[in-house]
Amino acid sequence: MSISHYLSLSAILFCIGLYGVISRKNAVMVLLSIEIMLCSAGLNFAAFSAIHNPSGQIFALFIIVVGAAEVACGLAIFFLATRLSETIDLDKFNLLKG
Amino acid sequence: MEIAFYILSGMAVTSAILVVSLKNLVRAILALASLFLSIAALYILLSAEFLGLVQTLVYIGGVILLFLFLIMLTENLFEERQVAFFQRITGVGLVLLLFGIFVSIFMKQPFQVIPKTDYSIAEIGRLLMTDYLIPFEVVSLLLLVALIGAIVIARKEEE
Amino acid sequence: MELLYDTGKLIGVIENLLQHCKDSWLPGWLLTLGIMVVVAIIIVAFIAVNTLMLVLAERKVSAFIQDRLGPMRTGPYGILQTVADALKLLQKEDITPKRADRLIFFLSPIIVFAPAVMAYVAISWSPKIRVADINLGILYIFAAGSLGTLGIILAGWSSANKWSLLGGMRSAAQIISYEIALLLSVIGVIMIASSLNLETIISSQKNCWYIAYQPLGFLLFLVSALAETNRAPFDIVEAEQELVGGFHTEYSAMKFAMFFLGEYANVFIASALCTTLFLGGWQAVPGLPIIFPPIVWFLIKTYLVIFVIMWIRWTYPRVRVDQLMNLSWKFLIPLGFLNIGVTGLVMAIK
Repeated sequence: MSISHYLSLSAILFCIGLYGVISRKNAVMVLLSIEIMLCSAGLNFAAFSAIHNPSGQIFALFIIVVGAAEVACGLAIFFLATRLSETIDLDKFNLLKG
Repeated sequence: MEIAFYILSGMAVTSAILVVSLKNLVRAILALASLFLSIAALYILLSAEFLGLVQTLVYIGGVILLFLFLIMLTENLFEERQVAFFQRITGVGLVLLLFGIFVSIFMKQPFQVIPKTDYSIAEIGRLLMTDYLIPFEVVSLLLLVALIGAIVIARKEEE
Repeated sequence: MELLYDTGKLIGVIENLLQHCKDSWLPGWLLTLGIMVVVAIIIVAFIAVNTLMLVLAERKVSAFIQDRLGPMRTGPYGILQTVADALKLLQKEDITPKRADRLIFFLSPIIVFAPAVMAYVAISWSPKIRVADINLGILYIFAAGSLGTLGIILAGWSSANKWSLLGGMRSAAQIISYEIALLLSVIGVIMIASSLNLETIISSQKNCWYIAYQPLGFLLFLVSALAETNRAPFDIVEAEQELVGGFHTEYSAMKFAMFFLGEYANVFIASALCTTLFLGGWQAVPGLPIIFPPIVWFLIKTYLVIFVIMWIRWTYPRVRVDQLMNLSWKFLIPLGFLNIGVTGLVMAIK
């Protein structure tokens, strides 16, 4: 296997995730798509660490931790938002608009 | 090895497409779980076993469960407005453009075959405790902040 | 029987057979595939037979604790009772509720059962008998275990039934909180053995079992393992008196049987892990002559732990939901950290 295989795979995954972020209106769906993008970044780090040194794996670990923290906070915010405004549509969270 | 890579990456791409296209939230989350699993298997294929197992443990055992928990706690999460057709086409165009940029960068990369590596978990642990000690501590602080933040945000207001 | 006593000889026979196959006519990938299929069949058969035995044992143990006889009619002393139950279960009609999410309703028993099979791969039964020598064996078993809980929650959601949904939600909350306590409780052992490989951990307990070094870790492990496998007194996930049947209320026939198999397979895995980490695995009791082959020692210890788990189930009342959360977050997790700290301190002083 060459490094290009892994890089292409992670590029494809990243683009799919980006498309999800652009095209979905449901906040939970957007969070899911962001998780796809984080995963693809981790894959890149792991692939490069296989040809250079183990530091890449540590960065991938940090990505996993940050992803988990982000989901915990994001879901708490969505929970509050559904309780206050009874919707999860991202375009309707515009109460701060002047 | 090659066959395993192609099967796993096919699984990963299929489940990623399912995640962004499925209407049903719970099914999308299930597809995301399958994506996480195939990425974990790819890590193991890259002989990053620790990373693969941590990915399974944290993402499927934690993150996916949190998503499902939120869905069970709240109603009306399922309604979703369709994005306009024009917007969708623009999205596809932008994403394809980005992919083109990625590919043009890869073309300049030399063709490097991945050697058989065997980093032990002890080596990763040593790096975490020496070179990456400060990032490690910062990340643990981040986790603590996220934990407290999530509790504070989602807590019921006391009357 | 000769072969069982001398595991080396048994392994040798199998290796010879495999070598012969490889030399003669089989292509390599077909051989690998064949080995995988055979191993999977052996594991599933073991799980099925083991579940039949454990269910009977459970009913007998509960009967004796409550001063009854238990099942007596089917077969001599009632030993065929669970076989009859299983045959009855297979003939039942497979019902899917009308408003259920059909795909997820179908998938969730599989998601519960498959990871339980996966976890058996890492167990070290005897010095050489194991499916795969995984360097990060403990982590692998925990990762497989965390997959199974997904099935329970999805089953609760997809049934379109309030009892099931409540069971699924309780399960999510319980499993997220107790997984932390479970992982913390084994770190002490990992620190002493300085390895995550199950075989290395067992062989490093040659002179002294880790229950002597880690009594607190052992207790924490036992309590959190009870909660992780949804056993009483932590079985609020399927509390019959409150939730009818919890997450599997709507399931029948083969799908219900899959949940049952998965549950008992997980109980066995938890006990086997407990034996491996704290009770010396397949090592004989220190000081006693080695009268049994290692695999028999392993099974004796594992079934003893399972007996203790059943004993606890029929002795203690079920805890309430809020008590359950308090126990994990305010009691087990701080104690787990304390255990790690003390272990580290003692190791640093030595």
